[in-house]
Amino acid sequence: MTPPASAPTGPTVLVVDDDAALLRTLQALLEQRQFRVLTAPDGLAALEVVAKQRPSVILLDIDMPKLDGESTALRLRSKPEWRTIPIIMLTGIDEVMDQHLTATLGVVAYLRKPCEPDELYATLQRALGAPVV
Amino acid sequence: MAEATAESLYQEAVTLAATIFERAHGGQSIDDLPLHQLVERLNAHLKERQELLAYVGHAVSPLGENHYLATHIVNTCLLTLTLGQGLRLPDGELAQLGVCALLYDVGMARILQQATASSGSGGQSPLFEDIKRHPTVGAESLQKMRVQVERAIRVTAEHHERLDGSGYPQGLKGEAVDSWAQIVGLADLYESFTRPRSKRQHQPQAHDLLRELVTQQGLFDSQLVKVLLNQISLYPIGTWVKLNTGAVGRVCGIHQGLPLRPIVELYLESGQMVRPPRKLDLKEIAAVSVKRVVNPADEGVPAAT
Repeated sequence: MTPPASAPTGPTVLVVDDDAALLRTLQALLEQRQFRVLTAPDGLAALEVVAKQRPSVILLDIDMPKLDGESTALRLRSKPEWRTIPIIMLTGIDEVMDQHLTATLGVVAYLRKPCEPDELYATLQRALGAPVV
Repeated sequence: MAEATAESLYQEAVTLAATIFERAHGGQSIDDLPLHQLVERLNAHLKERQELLAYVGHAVSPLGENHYLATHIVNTCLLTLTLGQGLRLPDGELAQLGVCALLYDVGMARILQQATASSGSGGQSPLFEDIKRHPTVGAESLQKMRVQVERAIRVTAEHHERLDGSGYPQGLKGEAVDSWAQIVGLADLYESFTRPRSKRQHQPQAHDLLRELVTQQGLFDSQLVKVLLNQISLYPIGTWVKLNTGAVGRVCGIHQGLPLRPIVELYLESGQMVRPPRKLDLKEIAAVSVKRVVNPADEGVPAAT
């Protein structure tokens, strides 16, 4: 949950995943594009992070301990100030019915792991409605 | 004719749901009569006992995982009828509502079929944006299929709309959302949330959804949420719970109207496995209550239990 040493100039992304290696990879990729990156290992920790500092967008794993992705997305709807944070769901499993559910929980996009950096940036750009430089 | 068992009736319903999708794929018209007959039997069964409801959140499709959608439809229909009974809808309306709940997700079937057709036999997943179009696609399909229950078209188009305007595809608000679409939409959300996910280690719990539905105003009519809690309990059948006595068990029955006092099959008492499990009806013992929902593995209950 530590911001990088060099001051980032881009939007804040919260990345939530129980895979520590993947978190590091995504953090590095995002910092290359000047995002400020926050991380959390599960849904409950993510909610604590959001309560302290509202991110511009959330990358949310679906299969996590303590609080899974769908339940986290549902709880993020509980406060009006959180409800508008775009959520991009990350999944390692190709399950159409998961997508069917998350669409109704306000998720704006779906990324399958492992995702290519260009796909990651393009999805973030669409979710933020702003170019990723 | 002998009355069908819950299992045979459930299988019959899943097979009929699969047939509806096939007709939708072929753009063929559909005869409502078998749908009405099935709904009537499901409704009568649900009024008598709770066995069919136990499939919701636990059913694995008898047609295999790729046909999960048919199971999803049947479970949603069962929940819809349960909600309709709780709302005390007249039998005629309940029958029509039940038919709507068998037809409302033909759009998902169409989207899945289009994705498969475009990728050959590999069965590539549709895009997320395509899935968000399924209510509209479904309503168009039903028009082509010339369904006789006309309201099914509106229910299909609006089942993902939410009272606070946060739904899709139209973002309708308040009274603009059809009341039956709300009922089917709540049943669909509950079923989608609680369905078993065999490929995953962690999955959403019914209890979390119910608690959020109570806390979060604006998604569904509050009276409808109250009916859901009364009909399926805050601790639906299959939920693992820890009691205030420290005992751990699985909910095996509920009392409609008493959402906090289910019937629990106790598997662990004073740290010891109970064999065979002992039934405890919390309606009968006021001093005992559910403390929290638990994961049985975390409590030392073997997975095969």
